[in-house]
Amino acid sequence: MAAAALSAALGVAGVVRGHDGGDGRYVTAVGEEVLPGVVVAAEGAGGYGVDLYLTAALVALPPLGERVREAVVGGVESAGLERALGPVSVTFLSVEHSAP
Amino acid sequence: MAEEGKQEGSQGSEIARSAGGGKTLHTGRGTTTIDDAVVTKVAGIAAREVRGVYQLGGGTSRALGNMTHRVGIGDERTQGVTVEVGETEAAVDLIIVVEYGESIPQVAEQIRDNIVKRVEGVTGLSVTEVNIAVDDLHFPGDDHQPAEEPARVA
Repeated sequence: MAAAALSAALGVAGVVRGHDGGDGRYVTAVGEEVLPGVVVAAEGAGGYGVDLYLTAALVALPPLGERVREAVVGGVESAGLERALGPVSVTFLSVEHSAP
Repeated sequence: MAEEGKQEGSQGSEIARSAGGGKTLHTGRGTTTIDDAVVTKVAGIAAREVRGVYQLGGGTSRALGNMTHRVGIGDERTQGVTVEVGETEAAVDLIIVVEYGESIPQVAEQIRDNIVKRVEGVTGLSVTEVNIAVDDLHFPGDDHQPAEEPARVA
């Protein structure tokens, strides 16, 4: 689920990359691969909540957060995991300016 | 996440201030949080976009910033920028170095306008004040590195 969620989020225009929190706090290990900027935690109701930590371009962030959430829901559905998906939280930890 | 005051946002969503710092927008399917560091960075970028701004930060923070940037742990875009972020508003304090010859009042006004535009556009926060302290002037020759003196003995 972490891989599907992060992949969907990174596909949204305006998202630059996952942010590991600076000290590796926000990562998920999938086998030998480390996914920066995504944490999946079991929810009380039986599902899994997805927390995304992102670096974004210099764009309006509240609507970008909504687009990321929609993309994650779609991506998790495509992976056949939608029944296990709980709330999707999006945190913007940094922004990047494309100009030099 | 613990929260303090809440208010109604657009489209039935709820805006709150998270205890960990940052503006949080609640929706039916999860939250969107904008970290205070983002507001700081946007304000720093906006200030640097203004012609006449040579650098941000006071003497000590510039020296420290140069050193931390060189070893890869600092971000010069946030040095000299302090923000206070509330539920829906933000205040920005800025320390700058201005290019010699530029009108300081005009540079300050353009910085204010650009920070308000950028921060409001990116974060949705309303900027209530931008306080600017001019710490130094930069002269064109300041960057000139003195040539190494030839050795006096062979």
